[in-house]
Amino acid sequence: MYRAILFQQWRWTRLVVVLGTLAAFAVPLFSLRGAAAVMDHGTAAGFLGDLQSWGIAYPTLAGALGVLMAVTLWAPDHRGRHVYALALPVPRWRYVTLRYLAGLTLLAAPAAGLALGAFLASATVSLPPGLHPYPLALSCRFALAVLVAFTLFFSISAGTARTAGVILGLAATLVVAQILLSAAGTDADILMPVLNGVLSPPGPFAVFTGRWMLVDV
Amino acid sequence: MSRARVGAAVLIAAALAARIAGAQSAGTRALTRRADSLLALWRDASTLAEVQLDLQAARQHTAGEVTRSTASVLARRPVQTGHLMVIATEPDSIPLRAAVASVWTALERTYGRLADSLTARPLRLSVVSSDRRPVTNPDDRRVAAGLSVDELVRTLLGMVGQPLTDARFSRWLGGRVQVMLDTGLVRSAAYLELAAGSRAGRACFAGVPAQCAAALELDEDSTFFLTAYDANDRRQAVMAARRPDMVEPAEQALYRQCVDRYVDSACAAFLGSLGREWVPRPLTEDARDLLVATALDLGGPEAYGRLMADSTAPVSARLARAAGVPAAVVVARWRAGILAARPAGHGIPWSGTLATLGWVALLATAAVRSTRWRLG
Repeated sequence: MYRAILFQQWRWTRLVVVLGTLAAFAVPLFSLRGAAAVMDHGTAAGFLGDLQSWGIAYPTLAGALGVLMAVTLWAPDHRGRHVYALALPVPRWRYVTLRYLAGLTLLAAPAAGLALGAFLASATVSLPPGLHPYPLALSCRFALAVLVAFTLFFSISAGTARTAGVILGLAATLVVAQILLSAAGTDADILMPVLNGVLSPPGPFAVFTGRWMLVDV
Repeated sequence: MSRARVGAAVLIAAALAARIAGAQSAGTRALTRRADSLLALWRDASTLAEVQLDLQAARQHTAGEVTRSTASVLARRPVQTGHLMVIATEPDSIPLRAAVASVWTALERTYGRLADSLTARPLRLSVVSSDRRPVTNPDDRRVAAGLSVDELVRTLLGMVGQPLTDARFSRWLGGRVQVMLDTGLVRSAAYLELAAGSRAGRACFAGVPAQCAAALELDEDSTFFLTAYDANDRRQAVMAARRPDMVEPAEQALYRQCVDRYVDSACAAFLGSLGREWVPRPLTEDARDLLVATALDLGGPEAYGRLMADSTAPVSARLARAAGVPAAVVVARWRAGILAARPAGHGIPWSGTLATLGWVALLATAAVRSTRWRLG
């Protein structure tokens, strides 16, 4: 059954998977274009600055892949009002688990693409002494970010529209409350503590923040 | 006949030599007189300049004292910490107390007793709100209402300025001694300078103390590029010092040999011909500022006075005197501070990975156990 679901999901998401894999493979290669074996410290600082700018691409790609995969996977079920799923002779928890695992299997391709690109770029680049490539750390981090993004949106998509509405409503309420507080002239900040909570360790999105560097000191 | 001729020739030669020597000594005397006259003029000018500076300082001091004594009387609500007084038009709309306290602490920590003379004159701020009221006093510095403490501290430090530094120390440092507020960022940047910088910087990073001194140019050697740089560094330095279109025709051959043919002797010769101030230095001014800050921290309140006491002494000796410890100790402390400020890591710690996996497990369980499925 897993293979059937996997094949079905591949048909639905192959465009996302192929494009995501190509992008993940290309980003590390493009990010190291300015590298040279000899750099003065000013050039090295500029190079690391450029690399840090490229670093935004990794969490963005991870987040986009997670969202697109999760939404695309559940779109046919939502369109068919889940009749097909309900008609299957398997417990629904098992059905969801299989779909989740199939989704993760497909997402392994972009993660592997990034790892391949990162290791290839690291092997071919000339770097000055003092700078080192970290392809393994970057690849693991990317895989973890994809896993978090996919699981979150898979969870939301698997739920009812009401669940998604409640989550979105909560986020919107926070933003509106903050706007009203600022308009009232108070210094109270309710948004930042929440954001800091989810974006800093041990928050769920801490993996997306920080320096995503293929090459560093 | 021949003897008479020889004698006449000798006499003529002697007369000519005496005349030339006389003319030369007269010329030398005239030049000496001119030099003496110029020296006397320079001394007079220096004395006048010193008198003028003293007068200006005295005038500023008097004006400062008057402003200080009248500020409270005129109900201007001055904010003062130590000797630093700030008068603002709307002191409550900016975090003035915190900023003034912070600035005074930083000034005292850096300049010691000299901070008093730097802050002789109270600083005046005019707080500008969104309604853009005109500034009443042209001497006031306009600052926006709602300024953060950090921004205000930097503004006040800019207004206070830095004391004059002698030419020798200023040449080595690249400017005047600055107050260092946040050394964390500077240390992180210096980490990169050492880790991926010149040969001496990299060796210093690896733990060779002598190379730290070379990277910091503590010897004040004008040919530092021979010791602090390797061949690649020298070529990079040549390229950084002159773009190809900026090179004089006479220097083109040397430049091309260095840049295109990688001839190290040509690079060294080119750098030597540039003059010390045009040769890219192994470390930035920030890194040297950090060294001075380290020495001042080690030396305590009177360290700045000791640093500036003898303008003829070598920089390393002055740093050692200021810090009260050998220069090598100051450099070692400087290096340790930089190494401790390694930029944030590229990976994520195990605890972070475990926490993330925990969140993934939680969300996945929520997906499997969602309402939709339990309804079924």
